Amino acid sequence: MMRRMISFISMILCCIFLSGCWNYKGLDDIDIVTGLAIDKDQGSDIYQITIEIVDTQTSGREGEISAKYIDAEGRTIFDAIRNSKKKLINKLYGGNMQTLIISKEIAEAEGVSIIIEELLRDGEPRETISIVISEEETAKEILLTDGIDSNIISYEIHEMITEDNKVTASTVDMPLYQTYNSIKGNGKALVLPVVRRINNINKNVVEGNGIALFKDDYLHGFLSPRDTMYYLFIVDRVRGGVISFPIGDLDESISMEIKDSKTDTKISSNQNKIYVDINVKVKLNIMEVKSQLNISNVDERDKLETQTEEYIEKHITELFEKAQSEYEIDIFGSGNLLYKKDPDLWRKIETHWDELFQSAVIKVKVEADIISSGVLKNY
Amino acid sequence: MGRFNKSNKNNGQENMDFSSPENLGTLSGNYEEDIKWLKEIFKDDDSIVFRRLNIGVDGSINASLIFFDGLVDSAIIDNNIIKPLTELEQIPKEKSAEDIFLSKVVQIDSVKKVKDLDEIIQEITYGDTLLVIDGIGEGLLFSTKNFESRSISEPEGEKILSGPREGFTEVIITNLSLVRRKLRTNKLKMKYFKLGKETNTQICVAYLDNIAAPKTLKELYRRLGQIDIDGILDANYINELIRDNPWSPFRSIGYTERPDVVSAKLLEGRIAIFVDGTPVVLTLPYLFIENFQSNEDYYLSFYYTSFSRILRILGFFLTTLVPAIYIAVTAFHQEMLPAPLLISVAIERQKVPLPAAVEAFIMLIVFEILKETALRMQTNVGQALSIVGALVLGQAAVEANLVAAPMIIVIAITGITSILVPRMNAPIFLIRFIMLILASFLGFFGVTIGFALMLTHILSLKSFGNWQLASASKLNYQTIKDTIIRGPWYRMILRPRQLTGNAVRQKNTWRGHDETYD
Amino acid sequence: MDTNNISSRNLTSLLVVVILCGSLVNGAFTIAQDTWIAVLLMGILFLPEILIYSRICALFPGKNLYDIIYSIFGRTSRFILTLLMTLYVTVVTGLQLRNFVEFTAVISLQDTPRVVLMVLLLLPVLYLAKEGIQVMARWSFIVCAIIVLNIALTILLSLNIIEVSHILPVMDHSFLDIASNSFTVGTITLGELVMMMAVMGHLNKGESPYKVYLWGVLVGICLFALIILRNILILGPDMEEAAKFSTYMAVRVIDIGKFFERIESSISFIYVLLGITKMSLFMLASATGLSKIFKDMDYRKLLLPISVIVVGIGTVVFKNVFEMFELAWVYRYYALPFQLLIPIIIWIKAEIKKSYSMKNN
Repeated sequence: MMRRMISFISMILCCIFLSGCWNYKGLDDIDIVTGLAIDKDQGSDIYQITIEIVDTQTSGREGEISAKYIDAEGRTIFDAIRNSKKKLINKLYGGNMQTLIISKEIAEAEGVSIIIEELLRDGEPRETISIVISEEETAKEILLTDGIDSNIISYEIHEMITEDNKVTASTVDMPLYQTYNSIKGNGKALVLPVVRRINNINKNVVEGNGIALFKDDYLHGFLSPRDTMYYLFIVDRVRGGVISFPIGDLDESISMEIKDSKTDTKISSNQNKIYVDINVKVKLNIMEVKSQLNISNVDERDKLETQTEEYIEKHITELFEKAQSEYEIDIFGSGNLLYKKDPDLWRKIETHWDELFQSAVIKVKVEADIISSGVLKNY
Repeated sequence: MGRFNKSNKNNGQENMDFSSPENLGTLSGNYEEDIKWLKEIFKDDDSIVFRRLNIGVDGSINASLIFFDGLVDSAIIDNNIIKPLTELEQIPKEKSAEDIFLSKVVQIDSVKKVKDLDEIIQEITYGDTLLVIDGIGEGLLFSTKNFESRSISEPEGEKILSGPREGFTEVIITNLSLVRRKLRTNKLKMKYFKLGKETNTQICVAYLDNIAAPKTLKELYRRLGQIDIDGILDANYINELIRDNPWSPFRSIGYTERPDVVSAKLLEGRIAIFVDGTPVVLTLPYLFIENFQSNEDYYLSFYYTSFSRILRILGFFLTTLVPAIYIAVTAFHQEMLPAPLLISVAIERQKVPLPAAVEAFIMLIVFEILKETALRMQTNVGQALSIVGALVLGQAAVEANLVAAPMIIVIAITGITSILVPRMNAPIFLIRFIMLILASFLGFFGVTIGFALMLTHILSLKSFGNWQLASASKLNYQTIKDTIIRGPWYRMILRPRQLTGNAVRQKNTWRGHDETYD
Repeated sequence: MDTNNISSRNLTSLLVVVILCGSLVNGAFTIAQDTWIAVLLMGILFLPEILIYSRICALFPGKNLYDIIYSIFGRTSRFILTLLMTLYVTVVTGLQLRNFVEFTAVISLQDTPRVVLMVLLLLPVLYLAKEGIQVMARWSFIVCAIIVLNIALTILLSLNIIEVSHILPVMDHSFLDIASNSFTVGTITLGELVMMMAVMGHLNKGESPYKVYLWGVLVGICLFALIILRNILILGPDMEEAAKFSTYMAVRVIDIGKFFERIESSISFIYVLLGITKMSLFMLASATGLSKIFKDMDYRKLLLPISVIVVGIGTVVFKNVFEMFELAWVYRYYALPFQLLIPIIIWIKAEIKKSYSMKNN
């Protein structure tokens, strides 16, 4: 009995001790990756990546966390990441990475699908990392910029993008798994946020700048921040933002804050013609009214609402027509709506969906409700 | 009434004496020989007194009083034994002379006739006096106990905020009296035993006749009967000799030093074992939730004490799992930490030479050392040393980059929460250690395996025929009203189902809504 | 063990836990957004089989599977049948062990050799099986409560990121596809309830095995469908299809208020607990069967040798993770005789015997 016990225990102990702990990653053995920027050298077909890692050596206790940057090259992304180890003493750890920056050259030439496949397959990076397209020459420039609030630009970009649709509605947040869905989905269209570098009081900072449009997964065009808001109206991703426009005969603009918005999009097809029916319900706060409007008067408010509605409708229709004529692709993913409604029909017209989209007929109806006007009744 | 309604009479053996006597024989009846034999047994023992008397006014009969100095009340011996004996006018010459001595002459409350030498030895070593009279075959034992003992005070280990502050002392009679005064009923039975070959320690098994389970009593007597040890010095000796699950670190028999706790447990159908010479009283059967219960729960508001109970259970989990989870998270599953926290911890860990797992082990051992020294040292040195040890050393170690600051916090949490459940020192220490090893090798998977092993072990514990964690399969009000939370007293209508079969405890208590008032 | 006082509530939770273990291989599904339909269909398709099991247990109250085989068959056939069932359940234990170890290895411990994980995972399994069915029943109640809480919590926390349109279009796949999928996963989740017959003998005297089986299947299938539904709604059909372990990936996405993010380790914790329960039940069944063959030897002595065999099987059963999902499509043919044929034979013989003895009485 005793002997059996001892042999059993020694078996267990052998398993534990003789083999060591393989997966033990002590915190002083790893470098925490916070962001990744991917470029490609056009001539030699080699990926050049820049990795931003947290600098734990020089970060003091006062909370001043700084970042270090590593360059690496390789035939594929994974190759390049592993090659970076030649310069580092520690292993890279990607579990807290939050941003991926892709240069627009790669997006145009090769598409983003290749890049996100690697990140999805590797279990370490989370599926919620934000993917952005860099408007500058290289993605590296964006990564090397200093942030305003902290030195780790990746976290800043991630925060900027995720909070944006509640504040300015000028860009869209596409975490990794939604990007995958947009690429693979039937009739879905991929869009990714765009960032650029801009001068801010003698310092270069990063700014979100609209979205990039994709045909399949190749970069196709850009939308300005202003147009992005109407894009978001169509795909029902507005949660906040500002609408400013000049009213009627006066030469000044008023500003309304969007509190809430809901869009119902219905799609129907009828003898090779697609009808898209968009219904927007938006709730607004009046924020800045410079003129002598008496907004406590009901009629004035109704007039304001109507003007806002017309304004939004006009721009949505303009954007839609622009997509049909200028970009020539279904950037709103309305094909997916058709697929969800009638999969068999979709499978028939899938191949020439873009042509059908170009001749689609849109009908927009906006319903605006002014629910508040700050703390003043009247100015 | 409950299932166990039958009386518990005649349920054990008739002979309740489980000590193993040496069989020294009996008194022969011959006065001189008996005295010589007694002197022979107690030779080289100078604390025993042989007081010769001459009984009767004329002093014709020889007698001897034998007692131990310091254990007896000399006043009683002088006034109630020697005086009536020496003033005896007429010496009875009938056959049952000793009875006359016992009933008419000597004025003591408790007397006994003895012949058996083992019994004599056991009794006079406890403070009784033996009277041997020439011409009477048997000896007479008088109860004259008077020895110094500790006064009743609140036990150190079970302090409470409000409620009775009595605690047991080392004298079994006093302890029994404390409980007897709380349970003033004839159904409180107290059966005496003697255990231990050399110590002949007196123990007492107490229970309430109408609610304790006869099956458990029978099993208890059987187990007590097979104890064969030379000395019982503390209740823990008995505990380890009769408990279920001998290899488990968890308790299977409860212990307490307070009479109110013992009374409450007796009222719930449990059985108590008192041991002479120690203030610790054992209670059985023991359910797992008793590790987290405290008698103060019933003296304070039920909202507060329900919260305290949940806090204690939480404390148990924290103290066993926190070091293991810390290692698992920072060394294997860093993605569980939000980024700023991870970065702070990483910055702190940069400066330290040792890997986190080794550091955790060392810090745990250091903490245990500190705790142990705090217990053992003299009080005047104690205060200064604990401050030095805990605060300054810790601070200095962090500054010198020997230990990472988060580790100090982790160990502090572990240590502080372990004080929440003081009865579980043994299992906590063991489980903590095993979890830490498993976590160091396999991260969260190891913690899961450790948790599974611990849970299986707890579920398999039994105590005198009852599962210690039976209510794990039921979730009605009856099960949780006194386990995880403490329901208000007027809702405690039934006694614990397992021990008593839901015997009714109270009916018709006013519940806070009286028609005549509103 | 001769206890027969386990309440039906505990056995039902044991059943639910065994069913939910099957949700680990939801990577074997090939239909994206209709997976939940396949799960519900699974419950309906396998209902007759479950009824057969309950009927066998109801005909012989207080006896477990091997006792039943021994009482109604002749000498050679009962030896063969018991041996077959024991072998089947041993192989299945090895398979399950490897499954759970692959899950842990792919998710977090990539470099640890599989053998070490298997041996260490077997430790609590052996302990639980050694303690017996009483402890296992109460344990499964706790585990069932934990997993129900976890499912409820993750669903509540995910309400802000789900998109209901992810399950559209419904029934895009052919009915044949869906049925084939439910058959495959059904053999893993529901078919293995055949081994519950080995412990049904310990049920409380007054309780009916029908209640245990039917309630268990109902609750288990509902929870399974809920899990799948949650995964699809969070991830979208394409991502859910592409992920190996979609439950894990779905929970990774949950992020509320910066506090409830990164709770996916609770998923791996729960899956390991589920695996331990199922494996210890099967180990118990296997040891009981083997002890019956060896003339009523104490089953505890057989646990250790069986566990060595199980580790061996676990090492060789498949080479890599791809084979793990492909195996599901082959396993259904392998399991069919044990899950369907043998119980039907037992059932028919039992009915004959019962009506024969009724006629005689």
